Amino acid sequence: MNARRPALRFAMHAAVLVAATACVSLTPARVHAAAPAAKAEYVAKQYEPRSMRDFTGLWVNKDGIGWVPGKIGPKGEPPLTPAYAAIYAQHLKNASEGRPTGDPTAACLPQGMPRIMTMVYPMEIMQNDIQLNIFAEWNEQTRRVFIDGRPHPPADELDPTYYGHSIGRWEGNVLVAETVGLRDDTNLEATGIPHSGDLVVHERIWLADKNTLKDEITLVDAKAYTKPWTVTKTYHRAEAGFSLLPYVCLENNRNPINANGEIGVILEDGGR
Amino acid sequence: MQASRRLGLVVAAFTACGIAGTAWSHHSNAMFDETKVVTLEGTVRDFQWTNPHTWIQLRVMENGQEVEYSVEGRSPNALARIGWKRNTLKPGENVKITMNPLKSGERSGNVITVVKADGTMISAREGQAR
Repeated sequence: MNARRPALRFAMHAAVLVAATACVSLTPARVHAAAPAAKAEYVAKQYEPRSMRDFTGLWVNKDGIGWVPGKIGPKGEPPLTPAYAAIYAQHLKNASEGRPTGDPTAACLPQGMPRIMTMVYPMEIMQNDIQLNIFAEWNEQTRRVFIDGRPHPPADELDPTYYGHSIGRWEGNVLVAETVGLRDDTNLEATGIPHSGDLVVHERIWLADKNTLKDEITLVDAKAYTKPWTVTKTYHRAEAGFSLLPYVCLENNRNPINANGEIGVILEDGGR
Repeated sequence: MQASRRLGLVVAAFTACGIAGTAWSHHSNAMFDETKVVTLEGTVRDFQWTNPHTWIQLRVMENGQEVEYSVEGRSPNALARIGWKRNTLKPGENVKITMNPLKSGERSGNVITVVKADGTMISAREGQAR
Protein backbone atom coordinates (compact mmCIF):
# COMPACT_ATOMS: atom_id res chain seq x y z
CA MET A 1 0.00 0.00 0.00
CA ASN A 2 2.76 2.37 1.03
CA ALA A 3 4.66 1.70 -2.12
CA ARG A 4 1.60 2.44 -4.20
CA ARG A 5 0.64 5.59 -2.38
CA PRO A 6 3.18 7.95 -3.96
CA ALA A 7 2.23 6.59 -7.33
CA LEU A 8 -1.43 7.10 -6.51
CA ARG A 9 -0.66 10.57 -5.26
CA PHE A 10 1.24 11.34 -8.39
CA ALA A 11 -1.59 10.01 -10.49
CA MET A 12 -4.10 12.10 -8.56
CA HIS A 13 -1.97 15.20 -8.86
CA ALA A 14 -1.52 14.55 -12.52
CA ALA A 15 -5.25 14.08 -12.93
CA VAL A 16 -5.97 17.31 -11.09
CA LEU A 17 -3.36 19.09 -13.16
CA VAL A 18 -4.82 17.73 -16.39
CA ALA A 19 -8.31 18.63 -15.26
CA ALA A 20 -7.15 22.09 -14.20
CA THR A 21 -5.38 22.62 -17.52
CA ALA A 22 -8.48 21.50 -19.30
CA CYS A 23 -10.51 23.87 -17.15
CA VAL A 24 -8.18 26.75 -17.90
CA SER A 25 -8.31 26.07 -21.61
CA LEU A 26 -12.09 25.63 -21.50
CA THR A 27 -12.79 28.59 -19.32
CA PRO A 28 -12.54 31.40 -21.85
CA ALA A 29 -14.80 29.61 -24.29
CA ARG A 30 -17.33 28.66 -21.63
CA VAL A 31 -17.41 32.12 -20.14
CA HIS A 32 -17.79 33.53 -23.64
CA ALA A 33 -20.60 31.13 -24.47
CA ALA A 34 -22.42 31.90 -21.24
CA ALA A 35 -22.07 35.66 -21.52
CA PRO A 36 -25.26 37.43 -22.60
CA ALA A 37 -23.44 39.17 -25.46
CA ALA A 38 -22.77 35.78 -27.08
CA LYS A 39 -26.51 35.42 -27.67
CA ALA A 40 -26.16 38.04 -30.37
CA GLU A 41 -23.78 35.84 -32.36
CA TYR A 42 -26.49 34.47 -34.65
CA VAL A 43 -27.69 37.94 -35.52
CA ALA A 44 -26.10 39.39 -38.64
CA LYS A 45 -24.13 42.60 -38.35
CA GLN A 46 -24.53 45.27 -40.98
CA TYR A 47 -21.75 44.98 -43.56
CA GLU A 48 -19.27 47.86 -43.89
CA PRO A 49 -18.09 48.21 -47.51
CA ARG A 50 -14.31 48.23 -47.90
CA SER A 51 -14.50 50.72 -50.75
CA MET A 52 -17.06 52.30 -53.05
CA ARG A 53 -16.40 49.38 -55.42
CA ASP A 54 -17.48 46.87 -52.80
CA PHE A 55 -21.14 45.97 -53.34
CA THR A 56 -21.04 43.04 -50.91
CA GLY A 57 -23.97 42.80 -48.55
CA LEU A 58 -27.67 42.18 -48.13
CA TRP A 59 -29.88 44.43 -50.21
CA VAL A 60 -33.61 45.08 -50.13
CA ASN A 61 -35.64 46.46 -53.03
CA LYS A 62 -38.24 48.84 -51.62
CA ASP A 63 -39.49 50.11 -54.99
CA GLY A 64 -42.17 47.41 -55.30
CA ILE A 65 -42.54 44.68 -57.87
CA GLY A 66 -43.11 46.72 -61.02
CA TRP A 67 -40.34 46.75 -63.61
CA VAL A 68 -40.68 50.54 -63.55
CA PRO A 69 -40.22 51.43 -59.87
CA GLY A 70 -43.59 52.20 -58.30
CA LYS A 71 -45.51 51.51 -61.53
CA ILE A 72 -46.61 47.95 -62.10
CA GLY A 73 -48.02 46.65 -65.38
CA PRO A 74 -49.35 48.96 -68.10
CA LYS A 75 -48.85 51.94 -65.73
CA GLY A 76 -45.13 51.67 -66.44
CA GLU A 77 -45.92 52.26 -70.14
CA PRO A 78 -43.72 49.53 -71.59
CA PRO A 79 -42.56 50.62 -75.09
CA LEU A 80 -43.65 47.36 -76.71
CA THR A 81 -43.63 46.70 -80.43
CA PRO A 82 -47.07 45.74 -81.82
CA ALA A 83 -46.23 42.00 -81.79
CA TYR A 84 -45.07 42.07 -78.16
CA ALA A 85 -47.91 44.39 -77.11
CA ALA A 86 -50.26 41.66 -78.34
CA ILE A 87 -48.41 39.03 -76.29
CA TYR A 88 -48.62 41.26 -73.21
CA ALA A 89 -52.35 41.92 -73.72
CA GLN A 90 -52.93 38.17 -73.85
CA HIS A 91 -50.94 37.64 -70.62
CA LEU A 92 -52.98 40.34 -68.85
CA LYS A 93 -56.25 38.83 -70.05
CA ASN A 94 -55.22 35.32 -69.04
CA ALA A 95 -54.03 36.46 -65.60
CA SER A 96 -57.36 38.16 -64.93
CA GLU A 97 -58.98 34.79 -65.61
CA GLY A 98 -56.65 32.99 -63.18
CA ARG A 99 -54.28 31.68 -65.86
CA PRO A 100 -50.75 33.02 -65.18
CA THR A 101 -49.33 32.52 -68.70
CA GLY A 102 -47.03 35.51 -68.26
CA ASP A 103 -45.55 34.44 -64.95
CA PRO A 104 -43.37 31.31 -64.92
CA THR A 105 -42.66 31.86 -61.19
CA ALA A 106 -46.26 30.78 -60.53
CA ALA A 107 -45.02 27.31 -61.55
CA CYS A 108 -41.93 27.77 -59.34
CA LEU A 109 -39.66 28.34 -62.34
CA PRO A 110 -36.79 30.85 -61.91
CA GLN A 111 -37.46 34.56 -62.20
CA GLY A 112 -34.51 34.90 -64.61
CA MET A 113 -32.63 37.99 -65.67
CA PRO A 114 -33.50 40.88 -65.56
CA ARG A 115 -36.43 40.17 -63.21
CA ILE A 116 -34.02 38.89 -60.53
CA MET A 117 -33.05 42.56 -60.03
CA THR A 118 -36.59 43.53 -59.03
CA MET A 119 -37.81 40.84 -56.63
CA VAL A 120 -39.42 41.90 -53.36
CA TYR A 121 -37.40 39.33 -51.45
CA PRO A 122 -33.88 40.44 -50.52
CA MET A 123 -30.71 39.72 -52.46
CA GLU A 124 -27.15 39.13 -51.33
CA ILE A 125 -24.09 40.27 -53.26
CA MET A 126 -20.70 38.64 -52.73
CA GLN A 127 -17.77 39.67 -54.89
CA ASN A 128 -14.09 39.10 -55.50
CA ASP A 129 -11.73 40.17 -58.30
CA ILE A 130 -13.12 37.56 -60.68
CA GLN A 131 -16.86 37.80 -60.26
CA LEU A 132 -19.76 39.35 -58.49
CA ASN A 133 -22.46 36.90 -57.42
CA ILE A 134 -26.00 38.11 -56.91
CA PHE A 135 -28.02 35.64 -54.87
CA ALA A 136 -31.78 36.14 -54.74
CA GLU A 137 -33.64 34.77 -51.74
CA TRP A 138 -36.68 34.04 -53.92
CA ASN A 139 -36.16 30.44 -55.00
CA GLU A 140 -32.46 30.65 -54.12
CA GLN A 141 -31.24 31.79 -57.52
CA THR A 142 -27.71 33.00 -58.34
CA ARG A 143 -26.66 35.36 -61.09
CA ARG A 144 -22.92 35.80 -61.82
CA VAL A 145 -21.26 38.88 -63.34
CA PHE A 146 -17.67 38.20 -64.46
CA ILE A 147 -15.42 41.20 -63.84
CA ASP A 148 -12.05 39.68 -64.76
CA GLY A 149 -12.00 41.06 -68.30
CA ARG A 150 -13.27 37.97 -70.12
CA PRO A 151 -15.47 38.47 -73.21
CA HIS A 152 -18.82 36.79 -73.91
CA PRO A 153 -18.54 33.31 -75.46
CA PRO A 154 -19.08 33.08 -79.23
CA ALA A 155 -22.78 33.21 -80.13
CA ASP A 156 -22.96 29.55 -81.17
CA GLU A 157 -21.61 28.50 -77.76
CA LEU A 158 -24.01 30.73 -75.89
CA ASP A 159 -27.02 28.64 -74.88
CA PRO A 160 -29.99 30.73 -73.76
CA THR A 161 -30.24 30.49 -69.97
CA TYR A 162 -32.25 32.08 -67.16
CA TYR A 163 -29.40 34.41 -66.12
CA GLY A 164 -27.49 34.61 -69.40
CA HIS A 165 -23.82 35.61 -69.56
CA SER A 166 -22.90 38.80 -67.72
CA ILE A 167 -19.56 40.59 -67.98
CA GLY A 168 -18.62 43.81 -66.25
CA ARG A 169 -15.86 46.42 -66.10
CA TRP A 170 -15.22 49.37 -63.83
CA GLU A 171 -15.70 52.96 -64.93
CA GLY A 172 -14.50 54.73 -61.81
CA ASN A 173 -16.71 53.32 -59.06
CA VAL A 174 -19.46 52.31 -61.48
CA LEU A 175 -19.68 48.68 -62.58
CA VAL A 176 -20.75 48.65 -66.22
CA ALA A 177 -22.25 45.27 -67.06
CA GLU A 178 -23.70 43.63 -70.14
CA THR A 179 -25.81 40.48 -70.23
CA VAL A 180 -26.57 38.36 -73.29
CA GLY A 181 -27.76 34.79 -73.87
CA LEU A 182 -31.13 35.07 -72.14
CA ARG A 183 -34.13 32.79 -72.57
CA ASP A 184 -37.18 34.32 -74.24
CA ASP A 185 -39.73 32.78 -71.87
CA THR A 186 -39.14 34.86 -68.75
CA ASN A 187 -40.67 38.28 -68.18
CA LEU A 188 -39.90 41.58 -66.48
CA GLU A 189 -42.51 41.33 -63.72
CA ALA A 190 -45.45 39.27 -62.50
CA THR A 191 -47.91 40.90 -64.91
CA GLY A 192 -46.00 39.28 -67.78
CA ILE A 193 -44.24 42.13 -69.64
CA PRO A 194 -42.37 40.09 -72.28
CA HIS A 195 -38.95 40.32 -73.91
CA SER A 196 -37.39 38.35 -76.75
CA GLY A 197 -34.31 36.15 -76.85
CA ASP A 198 -32.47 39.07 -78.50
CA LEU A 199 -32.56 41.05 -75.25
CA VAL A 200 -29.27 42.64 -74.21
CA VAL A 201 -29.26 44.09 -70.71
CA HIS A 202 -26.93 47.00 -70.00
CA GLU A 203 -26.38 48.00 -66.39
CA ARG A 204 -24.58 50.73 -64.52
CA ILE A 205 -24.32 49.68 -60.86
CA TRP A 206 -22.93 51.92 -58.14
CA LEU A 207 -23.08 52.78 -54.45
CA ALA A 208 -24.89 56.10 -54.09
CA ASP A 209 -23.73 55.97 -50.49
CA LYS A 210 -22.44 53.07 -48.42
CA ASN A 211 -25.98 51.87 -47.65
CA THR A 212 -27.65 52.58 -51.01
CA LEU A 213 -27.05 50.61 -54.19
CA LYS A 214 -28.30 51.85 -57.56
CA ASP A 215 -28.74 49.89 -60.79
CA GLU A 216 -29.53 51.81 -63.97
CA ILE A 217 -30.79 49.12 -66.33
CA THR A 218 -31.25 49.64 -70.06
CA LEU A 219 -33.04 46.95 -72.03
CA VAL A 220 -32.12 46.79 -75.71
CA ASP A 221 -34.41 44.44 -77.64
CA ALA A 222 -35.43 45.61 -81.10
CA LYS A 223 -37.93 42.72 -81.47
CA ALA A 224 -39.84 43.54 -78.30
CA TYR A 225 -39.24 47.24 -77.61
CA THR A 226 -39.52 50.30 -79.82
CA LYS A 227 -36.53 51.97 -78.09
CA PRO A 228 -33.86 51.28 -75.47
CA TRP A 229 -35.78 51.20 -72.20
CA THR A 230 -34.02 52.55 -69.09
CA VAL A 231 -35.13 52.28 -65.47
CA THR A 232 -33.13 52.90 -62.28
CA LYS A 233 -33.58 50.62 -59.29
CA THR A 234 -32.63 51.45 -55.72
CA TYR A 235 -31.68 48.92 -53.06
CA HIS A 236 -31.25 49.65 -49.37
CA ARG A 237 -28.70 47.84 -47.22
CA ALA A 238 -30.52 45.54 -44.81
CA GLU A 239 -30.31 46.57 -41.19
CA ALA A 240 -28.34 44.64 -38.59
CA GLY A 241 -30.20 41.52 -37.53
CA PHE A 242 -31.72 40.94 -40.97
CA SER A 243 -30.75 37.64 -42.54
CA LEU A 244 -31.61 35.62 -45.61
CA LEU A 245 -34.04 32.75 -45.14
CA PRO A 246 -34.42 29.57 -47.17
CA TYR A 247 -36.94 29.53 -50.01
CA VAL A 248 -37.46 26.41 -52.06
CA CYS A 249 -40.58 26.97 -54.12
CA LEU A 250 -41.27 23.27 -54.66
CA GLU A 251 -41.04 22.50 -50.93
CA ASN A 252 -44.82 22.48 -50.49
CA ASN A 253 -46.41 24.05 -53.56
CA ARG A 254 -50.13 23.47 -53.07
CA ASN A 255 -51.09 25.75 -55.96
CA PRO A 256 -50.68 23.55 -59.04
CA ILE A 257 -51.50 24.79 -62.52
CA ASN A 258 -53.98 22.50 -64.27
CA ALA A 259 -54.19 21.51 -67.94
CA ASN A 260 -56.23 24.66 -68.68
CA GLY A 261 -53.47 26.83 -67.21
CA GLU A 262 -55.55 27.71 -64.12
CA ILE A 263 -54.11 27.88 -60.61
CA GLY A 264 -55.86 25.76 -58.03
CA VAL A 265 -55.48 24.70 -54.42
CA ILE A 266 -54.63 21.23 -53.15
CA LEU A 267 -57.13 20.85 -50.32
CA GLU A 268 -56.31 18.73 -47.31
CA ASP A 269 -58.75 17.12 -44.94
CA GLY A 270 -57.06 15.55 -41.91
CA GLY A 271 -60.41 14.38 -40.57
CA ARG A 272 -60.98 11.84 -43.31
CA MET B 1 -63.93 18.07 -30.95
CA GLN B 2 -64.18 21.76 -30.15
CA ALA B 3 -67.51 23.46 -30.57
CA SER B 4 -66.71 25.89 -33.33
CA ARG B 5 -68.60 27.21 -36.25
CA ARG B 6 -68.39 29.26 -39.32
CA LEU B 7 -69.56 32.75 -38.55
CA GLY B 8 -70.63 33.66 -42.03
CA LEU B 9 -69.84 35.69 -45.05
CA VAL B 10 -69.07 39.35 -44.76
CA VAL B 11 -69.03 41.18 -48.05
CA ALA B 12 -66.89 44.27 -47.83
CA ALA B 13 -65.19 46.64 -50.19
CA PHE B 14 -61.78 45.46 -49.06
CA THR B 15 -59.80 47.43 -51.58
CA ALA B 16 -56.95 47.91 -49.13
CA CYS B 17 -56.13 44.22 -49.44
CA GLY B 18 -56.00 44.27 -53.19
CA ILE B 19 -53.60 47.10 -53.92
CA ALA B 20 -51.48 45.78 -56.76
CA GLY B 21 -47.86 46.75 -56.73
CA THR B 22 -47.17 46.60 -53.03
CA ALA B 23 -47.64 42.91 -52.57
CA TRP B 24 -46.47 39.87 -54.41
CA SER B 25 -47.25 36.23 -54.08
CA HIS B 26 -45.49 33.54 -56.08
CA HIS B 27 -48.74 33.30 -57.99
CA SER B 28 -51.32 35.97 -58.78
CA ASN B 29 -54.21 36.34 -56.36
CA ALA B 30 -56.82 36.30 -59.11
CA MET B 31 -58.12 32.99 -57.73
CA PHE B 32 -59.22 34.71 -54.51
CA ASP B 33 -62.25 36.97 -54.26
CA GLU B 34 -60.67 40.07 -52.75
CA THR B 35 -64.06 41.82 -52.52
CA LYS B 36 -65.22 39.30 -49.90
CA VAL B 37 -64.01 38.59 -46.39
CA VAL B 38 -65.02 35.34 -44.71
CA THR B 39 -64.63 34.78 -40.97
CA LEU B 40 -63.96 31.25 -39.78
CA GLU B 41 -63.79 30.00 -36.21
CA GLY B 42 -62.25 26.64 -35.54
CA THR B 43 -59.42 24.47 -34.31
CA VAL B 44 -55.98 24.35 -35.88
CA ARG B 45 -55.21 20.81 -37.05
CA ASP B 46 -51.91 21.70 -38.70
CA PHE B 47 -49.84 24.80 -39.40
CA GLN B 48 -47.55 24.27 -42.39
CA TRP B 49 -44.58 26.67 -42.12
CA THR B 50 -43.42 26.02 -45.68
CA ASN B 51 -42.63 27.71 -48.98
CA PRO B 52 -43.93 29.00 -51.24
CA HIS B 53 -46.89 29.49 -48.89
CA THR B 54 -47.86 28.74 -45.33
CA TRP B 55 -51.09 26.82 -44.71
CA ILE B 56 -53.45 26.77 -41.75
CA GLN B 57 -55.53 23.59 -41.72
CA LEU B 58 -58.60 24.59 -39.75
CA ARG B 59 -61.35 22.27 -38.47
CA VAL B 60 -64.65 24.13 -38.53
CA MET B 61 -68.22 23.11 -37.63
CA GLU B 62 -70.57 23.75 -40.52
CA ASN B 63 -74.25 22.81 -40.33
CA GLY B 64 -73.55 20.37 -37.52
CA GLN B 65 -70.69 18.71 -39.37
CA GLU B 66 -66.96 19.16 -38.90
CA VAL B 67 -65.15 20.17 -42.09
CA GLU B 68 -61.63 21.34 -42.89
CA TYR B 69 -60.49 24.57 -44.51
CA SER B 70 -57.05 24.93 -46.16
CA VAL B 71 -56.16 28.57 -45.51
CA GLU B 72 -53.25 29.89 -47.54
CA GLY B 73 -50.84 32.51 -46.21
CA ARG B 74 -47.74 34.36 -47.27
CA SER B 75 -44.35 32.64 -47.26
CA PRO B 76 -42.63 31.92 -43.93
CA ASN B 77 -39.95 34.39 -45.09
CA ALA B 78 -42.48 37.22 -45.35
CA LEU B 79 -44.31 36.24 -42.15
CA ALA B 80 -41.09 35.80 -40.14
CA ARG B 81 -40.20 39.39 -41.00
CA ILE B 82 -43.43 40.63 -39.42
CA GLY B 83 -42.93 38.55 -36.29
CA TRP B 84 -44.48 35.16 -37.03
CA LYS B 85 -42.74 31.93 -36.04
CA ARG B 86 -43.32 28.30 -36.96
CA ASN B 87 -45.14 27.86 -33.62
CA THR B 88 -47.26 31.01 -33.85
CA LEU B 89 -50.17 28.61 -34.41
CA LYS B 90 -50.25 25.28 -32.60
CA PRO B 91 -52.33 22.20 -33.35
CA GLY B 92 -55.37 22.08 -31.07
CA GLU B 93 -55.54 25.84 -30.69
CA ASN B 94 -58.87 27.64 -31.22
CA VAL B 95 -58.64 30.67 -33.51
CA LYS B 96 -60.77 33.01 -35.53
CA ILE B 97 -59.52 33.70 -39.05
CA THR B 98 -60.50 36.25 -41.67
CA MET B 99 -59.69 35.44 -45.28
CA ASN B 100 -60.49 36.28 -48.89
CA PRO B 101 -62.26 33.12 -50.08
CA LEU B 102 -61.43 31.16 -53.22
CA LYS B 103 -63.67 32.19 -56.12
CA SER B 104 -64.28 28.51 -56.88
CA GLY B 105 -66.17 28.10 -53.59
CA GLU B 106 -63.84 25.35 -52.35
CA ARG B 107 -62.99 25.41 -48.64
CA SER B 108 -59.95 27.63 -48.95
CA GLY B 109 -58.90 31.25 -48.96
CA ASN B 110 -56.11 33.73 -48.41
CA VAL B 111 -55.60 34.65 -44.74
CA ILE B 112 -55.87 38.30 -43.63
CA THR B 113 -55.88 38.12 -39.81
CA VAL B 114 -55.81 35.54 -37.05
CA VAL B 115 -57.40 36.17 -33.64
CA LYS B 116 -56.11 33.92 -30.86
CA ALA B 117 -58.33 32.57 -28.04
CA ASP B 118 -57.06 35.34 -25.72
CA GLY B 119 -58.18 38.00 -28.21
CA THR B 120 -54.74 38.83 -29.63
CA MET B 121 -55.04 39.76 -33.29
CA ILE B 122 -52.18 38.90 -35.64
CA SER B 123 -51.95 40.41 -39.12
CA ALA B 124 -50.82 38.22 -41.99
CA ARG B 125 -50.70 41.07 -44.49
CA GLU B 126 -48.20 43.66 -43.23
CA GLY B 127 -44.92 44.28 -45.01
CA GLN B 128 -44.28 44.04 -48.69
CA ALA B 129 -43.72 40.44 -49.75
CA ARG B 130 -46.74 38.17 -49.79
